[in-house]
Amino acid sequence: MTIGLTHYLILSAAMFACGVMCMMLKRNAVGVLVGIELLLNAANVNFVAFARYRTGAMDGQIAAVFVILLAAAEAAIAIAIFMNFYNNAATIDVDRGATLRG
Amino acid sequence: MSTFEQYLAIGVVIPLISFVMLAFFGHRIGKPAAGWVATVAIMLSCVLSGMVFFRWMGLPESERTELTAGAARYTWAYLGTLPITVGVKLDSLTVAMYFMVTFVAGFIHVFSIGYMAGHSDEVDGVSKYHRFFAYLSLFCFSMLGLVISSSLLFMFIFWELVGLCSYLLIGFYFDRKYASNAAMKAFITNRVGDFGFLCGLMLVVLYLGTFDLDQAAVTFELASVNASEAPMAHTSAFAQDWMARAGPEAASTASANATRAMALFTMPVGFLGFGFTLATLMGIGLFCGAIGKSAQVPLQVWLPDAMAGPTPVSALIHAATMVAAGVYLVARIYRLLTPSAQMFIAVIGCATLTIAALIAIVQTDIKKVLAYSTLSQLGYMIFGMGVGAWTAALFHLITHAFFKALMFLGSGQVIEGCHHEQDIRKMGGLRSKMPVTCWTFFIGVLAIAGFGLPGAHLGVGGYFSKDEILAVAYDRSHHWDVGEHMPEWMDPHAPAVPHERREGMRLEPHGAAPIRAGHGLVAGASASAEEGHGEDVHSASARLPILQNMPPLPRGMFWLALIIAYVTPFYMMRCWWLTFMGKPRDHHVHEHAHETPMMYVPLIVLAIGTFVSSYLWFRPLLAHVAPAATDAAMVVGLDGAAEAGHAAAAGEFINLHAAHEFLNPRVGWSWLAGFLVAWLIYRSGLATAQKLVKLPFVGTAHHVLENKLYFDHVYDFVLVRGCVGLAKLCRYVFDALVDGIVNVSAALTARFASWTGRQLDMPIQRGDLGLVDAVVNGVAEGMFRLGDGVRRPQSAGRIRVYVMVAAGSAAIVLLAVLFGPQIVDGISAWMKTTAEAKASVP
Amino acid sequence: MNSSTLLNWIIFLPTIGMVAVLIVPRALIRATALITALATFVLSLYLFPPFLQQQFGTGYGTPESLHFVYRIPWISAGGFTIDYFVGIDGLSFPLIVLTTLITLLACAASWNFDEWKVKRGMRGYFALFLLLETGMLGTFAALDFFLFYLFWEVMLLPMYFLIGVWGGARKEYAAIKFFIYTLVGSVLMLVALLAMYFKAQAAGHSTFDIIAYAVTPQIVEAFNDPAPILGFKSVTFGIAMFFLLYIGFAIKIPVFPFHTWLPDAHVEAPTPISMILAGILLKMGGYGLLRFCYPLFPAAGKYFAYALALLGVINIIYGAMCAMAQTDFKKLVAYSSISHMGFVLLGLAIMTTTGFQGAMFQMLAHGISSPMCFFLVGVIYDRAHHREINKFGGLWLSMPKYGSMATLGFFASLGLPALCGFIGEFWVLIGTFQAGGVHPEFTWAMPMAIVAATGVILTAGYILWLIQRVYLGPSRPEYADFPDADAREVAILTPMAVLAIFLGILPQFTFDVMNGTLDNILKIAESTVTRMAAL
Repeated sequence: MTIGLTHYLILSAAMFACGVMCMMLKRNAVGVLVGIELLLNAANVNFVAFARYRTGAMDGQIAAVFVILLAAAEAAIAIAIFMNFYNNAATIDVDRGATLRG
Repeated sequence: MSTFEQYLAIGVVIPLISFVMLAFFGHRIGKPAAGWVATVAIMLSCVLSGMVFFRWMGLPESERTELTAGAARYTWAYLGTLPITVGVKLDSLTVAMYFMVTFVAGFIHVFSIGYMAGHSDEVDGVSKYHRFFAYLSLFCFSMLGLVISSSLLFMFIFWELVGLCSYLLIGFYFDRKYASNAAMKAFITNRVGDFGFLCGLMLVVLYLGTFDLDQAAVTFELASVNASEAPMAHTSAFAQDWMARAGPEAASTASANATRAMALFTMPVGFLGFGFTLATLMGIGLFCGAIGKSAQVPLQVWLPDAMAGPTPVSALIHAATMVAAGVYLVARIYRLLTPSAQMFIAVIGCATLTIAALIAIVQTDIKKVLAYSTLSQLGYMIFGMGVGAWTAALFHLITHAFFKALMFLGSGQVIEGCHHEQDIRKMGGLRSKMPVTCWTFFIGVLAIAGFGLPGAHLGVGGYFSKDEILAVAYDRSHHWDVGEHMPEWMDPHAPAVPHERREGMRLEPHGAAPIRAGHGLVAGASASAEEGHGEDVHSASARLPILQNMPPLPRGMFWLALIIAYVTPFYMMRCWWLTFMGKPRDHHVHEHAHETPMMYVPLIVLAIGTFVSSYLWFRPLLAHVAPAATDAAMVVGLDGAAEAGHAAAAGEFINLHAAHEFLNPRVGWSWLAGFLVAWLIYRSGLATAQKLVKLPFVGTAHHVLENKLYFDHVYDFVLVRGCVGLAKLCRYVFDALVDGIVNVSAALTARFASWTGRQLDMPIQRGDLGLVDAVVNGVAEGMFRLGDGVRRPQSAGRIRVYVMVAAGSAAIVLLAVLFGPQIVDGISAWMKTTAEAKASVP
Repeated sequence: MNSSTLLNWIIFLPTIGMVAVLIVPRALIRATALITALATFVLSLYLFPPFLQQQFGTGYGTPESLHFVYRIPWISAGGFTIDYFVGIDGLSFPLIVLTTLITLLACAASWNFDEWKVKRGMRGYFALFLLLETGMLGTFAALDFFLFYLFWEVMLLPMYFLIGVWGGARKEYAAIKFFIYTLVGSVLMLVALLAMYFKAQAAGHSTFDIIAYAVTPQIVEAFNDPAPILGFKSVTFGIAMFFLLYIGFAIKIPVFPFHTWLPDAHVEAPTPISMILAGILLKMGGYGLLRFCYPLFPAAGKYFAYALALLGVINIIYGAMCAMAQTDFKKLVAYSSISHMGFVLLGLAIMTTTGFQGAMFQMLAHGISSPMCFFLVGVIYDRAHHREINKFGGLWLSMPKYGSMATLGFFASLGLPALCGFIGEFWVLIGTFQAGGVHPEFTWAMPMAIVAATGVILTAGYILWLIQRVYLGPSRPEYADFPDADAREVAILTPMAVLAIFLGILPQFTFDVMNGTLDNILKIAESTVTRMAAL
């Protein structure tokens, strides 16, 4: 059995589903962040797989690198926010941060 | 733009300038000065209109026609590609109306300065003096704009603006609940009428392709000729003249539109078993505007309430000018009315004049008596329009404007003099305290009662105008059996009437006979369709009897109008006697009573105006433009007859002569009869009347009339409460439902997320709301509380919920894309087979 | 700045202002924002000349018919070509001027920020406010679908925060509701965007250019292909796209049954944000329909005409009915917006010149009258701190200037002739009635116009009732000492009042700057329909 595009897509879909579930079910903010990482990486797998099997060019890989970059930045900011949030609320339960305060 | 048009247009703008000045600087201008600003403005307009009026009187007819046709038109905007023109409709009717409005308004302004000099300008203790005069100026602007409009759209625009002014002025004392209620009632009731007007306008612009009154009339006529397959040569002189003058472009537009407008006559509209043509519907729609503004049945309920406004307003707006605008509108759209539409108008007018006069008998508020008498007189005018007495109705409009303004101002003097006491039962004996008011008021009473000496050609106001309406109605009901018993005057060989005028009248019903003339075009449309049912329209549409005769007027309607001519003097005499004669019934009121020159000088002027308007100028001026006289065959013999002077004097037309022979003994002394009865009952105060009310039948009738035949009760119960109830239903049930569906799905998602979260993740905080409980509660809370699900803090703002919602939605979209086609196709296939199965069953 | 970059300046000046707001000292924040808004407004006035000269060109999107065009390739990787393509025609021009004007007035309305209930974060408020303006202007100016989508989303987020942070008691609920609704719409729009892009690519033009979508023959044929798609039997590509876009725009208009976010958002939003929301954001729905749905998928427009017109009528009647039953002043005005926007939908649905003109005019008229009404509510809310209609009364006595302005504003909203509301409604009603003649298959148009016309009665009902309860009646002691409208409030109300009168008296001025483009849109729609019928 050769590994083809379909398999990558299935892998990606599975990762995506895990990511979504993780975001939905985790009340811990870091858990949610992990879920987001999973989502982004699922997209990355798609990018690379399509690039490899369809276009043949490096578009997908470049996009994936961008995504990784953005994900790192996003994680950095998110964690900074969580720290702040923890200082204020003494928890990082996302459900507890339910109000926008002006 | 001729000088005439310029003068009239400037005369419209001057009150507008006054309005702007008063609106912005009124509080600085101060109390008496603000009133004089408005008064000077309307007086200037009056001078201008006087110049126009008298110069116009002096012009020969050919020059007038020339000026009318040469009036400038400017394009205001394009509706789609259709240009909407605006200009001055310069003809004798405009000139006469304009003069009447400015004249009456001018003296009412003077009166208002006197009326408002005391504390009458205060709303909750704050003087609103300048605002009152600002509104009056705005009203004058709108009313004059309405009078000179050459286009139906502009008539509609000014129509609504006078409605606005009426609203603002009725609600002038807006600190009082009944005043603001009355204002609101007036505006909304008028809007109901305007809704019909709007529908009529839609039909006009769709089929006639123009808002211009003349072009619409010509197109309408051409269309009726087309629909009847008569040769084009059979168009009326008016249409031929217009086609010749309007230039080839406008003429071809009109012809092209006329082809489309044929649908007005050929398209049947069935309603409750009655057959109509669209043309009739169009006329009725436009007339609905008049029903609202002229307070005809069934929209009459607002006018009596409108008396909550200051009395000068009642005189100006709710007696002399604005409420008469409905009659003016009918006069303007007269060429667009089919016989059925005219019959409809006559029925409405007849109902109004009867109901209002009966209610007036039992009113005890001096202004309410006058309000109901106004309603009744407006009913006469509308009835006159409906039966074809175009000139007479407008003549009545003008005389009525003078004498009713006079009486209202008189009542204003009384009310102001008696410190806002309006109940005539508490008055009496005011003659000694306010003699000028008393006797000028009496002139008004004489005029409305139709005082005159039959045979002597001596009378005032209603004696001429109302009786002329009755004469035409008599003729329409008693001598209108066209065909078998053609009256003598309809004989085509009689030399007195120009040949072509009469031909349209002797057509057999149902158009089976060859169509011989086109001069009844405007009048003729769908008489047979009216008499029969929906099918008749169909069968007739193959060859529409477009030149049908007017149906004869049911005799009952004539008799009603005649009987009410006896009731009118009765209730007016009752009012006058109770107010001014006899002994004072309330000494407190009587002691304070006084009159002031500022207020009684206008009364004298208007009293003179009442006489003058009954004799001079107006009648011939109006007769000169009557569409009836030139085109519509059905009224030719009747109304155009009287061009020379008063109907009574127009002896050369046998029918009118006969009509007056018939009427003189029957109604000529009605004023005396009414006065006598009123005097007998009320000469010694209220005692006799109170005894009468105790009689069984009279008591019941009195009760019913006091409740205004329960119109208000029914409307309040059915319409107002129904509408508000429906609104509440929309708000509390439907909107909650729509919102609830959204919210409940969000809430369910939220709770599901919360629940799964708890199952799979150790709750960080224990003691949170029990999930199962929450779900159960959410369902149990019922439809009204559906929205609360998301509003609770435990679910609002949860990141995880958003993810859940987004993911869920995405999943649904995915499923829809994957399986949607199969489902939709499956359903359609199932429906198809079901339908086929049904079809195969015999 | 020359004419080709003028539009860019207009769009991004608020962004520059936003940066400035972020760095200036706190005392200068309001002034900076106001100056930015004013400068943007003044710049937008420079857009007038070509439209006053009626340079509409002869076709849709031809070089003569687009003005102030600025176009550079923006993203082009792997066959993707996304342009930065902005330009305006008679469709977007009036809306852009409206946007700059209403934003300016709303900015002035935010001047009393320090007196608000939530007065923290003034810097953030004005920064987001200006970012919102960029988003709105960009949305109206963008001629590249991708760019349009981008600006559409740019506009969404500031709005979310402006409601969610500076709003009233239930602000989170309202903000989230607004956000989710709009997001659902944008997701559908995104689907349409991708589908259209790939369809165009398949037709040989990989572009997001909206003009090209409407005029390139291959793309037009591909878009209006009568063949069904995705295994449906009657759903063509055009119908599917029209539907997706329509839902997106209908949420913005908002059309029944997607309207429930609007009252909540309005009630919770601060006054200036309500002004913008009602004055401009709602117009994006109508604008989107005119920019995308009708030129691109005219056949689908006819297919959906009945449903759209019906929804328009429902909006008119239902909105008026709901407004009548409200006791919250602001909610009443919000529902009246729903009712008025129904006329827009009805006018568009019938696809005639008159209808388009009326719909467009109604958008502008409503863009003036409804911010005015919301501001009027705001003025009284600032003083009374509640909006319960039944608790008011006699305000015209204690606040005469304000009362007069309010009467004017509400009568404009009521559709009184000689004020702006009338023209739009009248044009739409007449247009609908005529539509049966223009499109013979629209036999339903006449009865629908008549039903819609009953709206004028209902509107009069709820507005007069409102005026009676709030402004008329005896002066109440608790409101007797309210100060009358101050200079700032009068200055904000005056331009709207003047415009309401101006539009009502001289509508042709407004029609002149947009009719040419509306005609072009209609022509391109008709030619597409006839060409596809011929194929």
